[in-house]
Amino acid sequence: MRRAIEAAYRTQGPIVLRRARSLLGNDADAREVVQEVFTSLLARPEQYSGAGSLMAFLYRATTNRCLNRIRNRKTRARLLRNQGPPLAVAPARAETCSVVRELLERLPEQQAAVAVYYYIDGMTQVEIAGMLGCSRRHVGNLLTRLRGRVSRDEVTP
Amino acid sequence: MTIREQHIPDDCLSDFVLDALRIGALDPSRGPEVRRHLLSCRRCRARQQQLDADAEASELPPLPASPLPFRRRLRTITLYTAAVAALIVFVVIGVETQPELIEKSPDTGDYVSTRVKGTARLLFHVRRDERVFEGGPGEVLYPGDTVRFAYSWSQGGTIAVLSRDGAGVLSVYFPATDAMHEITAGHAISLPGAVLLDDTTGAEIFYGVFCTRRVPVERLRQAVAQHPQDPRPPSGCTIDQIRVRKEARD
Repeated sequence: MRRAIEAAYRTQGPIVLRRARSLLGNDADAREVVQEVFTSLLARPEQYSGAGSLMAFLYRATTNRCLNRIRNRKTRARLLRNQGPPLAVAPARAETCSVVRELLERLPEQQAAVAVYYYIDGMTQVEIAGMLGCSRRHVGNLLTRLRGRVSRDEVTP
Repeated sequence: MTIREQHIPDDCLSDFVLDALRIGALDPSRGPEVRRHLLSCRRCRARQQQLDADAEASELPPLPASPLPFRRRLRTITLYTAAVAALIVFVVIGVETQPELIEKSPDTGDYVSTRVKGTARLLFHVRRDERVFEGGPGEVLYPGDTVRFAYSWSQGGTIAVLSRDGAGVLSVYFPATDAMHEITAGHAISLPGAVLLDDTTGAEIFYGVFCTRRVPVERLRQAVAQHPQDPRPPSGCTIDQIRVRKEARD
């Protein structure tokens, strides 16, 4: 099993790294995510049930770990702000910032994952449904809510 | 890969499909359709080449034998152990403890604590027209934006801020001299001065170099120039990177 995972690390590790970099925007954190995803798979190979492709499993694992880090980063940023000098910071508008990253901090878990797959990976609704194990209709509903949220945030001062 | 503000055209191929094609994991029934699309779509061909180049440029270390990465194992301790240790330090020595973040392990579901202490972070704020906001990784910036850097570090030392723009040109943003700037420990401390962004567009990386001693800035520049994607800091230094994207204003 270790050999199979090592082979996957060589061929698919760069994919995990690229996606983690995009989501986290930080090379050191992204490299840690790569190590975490694969060492976790080595420790508990049963995580990948064999249903669906290994690449889909790695996409999901990477997304989940990065979302955890982004949420923790938000907590950390709040800690720093509380302890540091007051900052003249206005909320960034969605259309001028990396839309997804800003939203990810605030979105419910499944909606955040849909935002990643749709806006960052460019997946179709059918592909996202396969990734999440839900119906295309459900993905469509989540995207509608997501767009509504973006619109609301854009008009928030 | 960049963060797209809008979804790609409906008939275009996702990164997931292009990745699957590259590693030979594409569902065989989709093969002909995907190849036909690639022949006719310049956007998807360009994206495919971009993903291929990115994969080839990625250098990954050997997979560790241990179940968790060494760095992670050092940093991660159970909440119970952390609480007991903090209590002992507080009661016996009276030392103030650093804040810790509590997170749920995606593997075990256990709650674990992650130490913040010692991590040097580069931060920045953007002034755009009349608005000032806090920037972050993945930020889209525009020519004419003014960027002011800040840092958080629990240890004092020296700092320099470098940047590699979309054309691959490496610049020293801070300080203006060849001597690193001395800093004290603190959170979200602003550095003097600001940088007015030029009109070079594309992916840009800000490097915050933190050292426990003075290192000639030129030496830092050379270290980053040699391995811009994964720079190896000189001894006693650490580098925090922030990737942003500079786009032309409409």
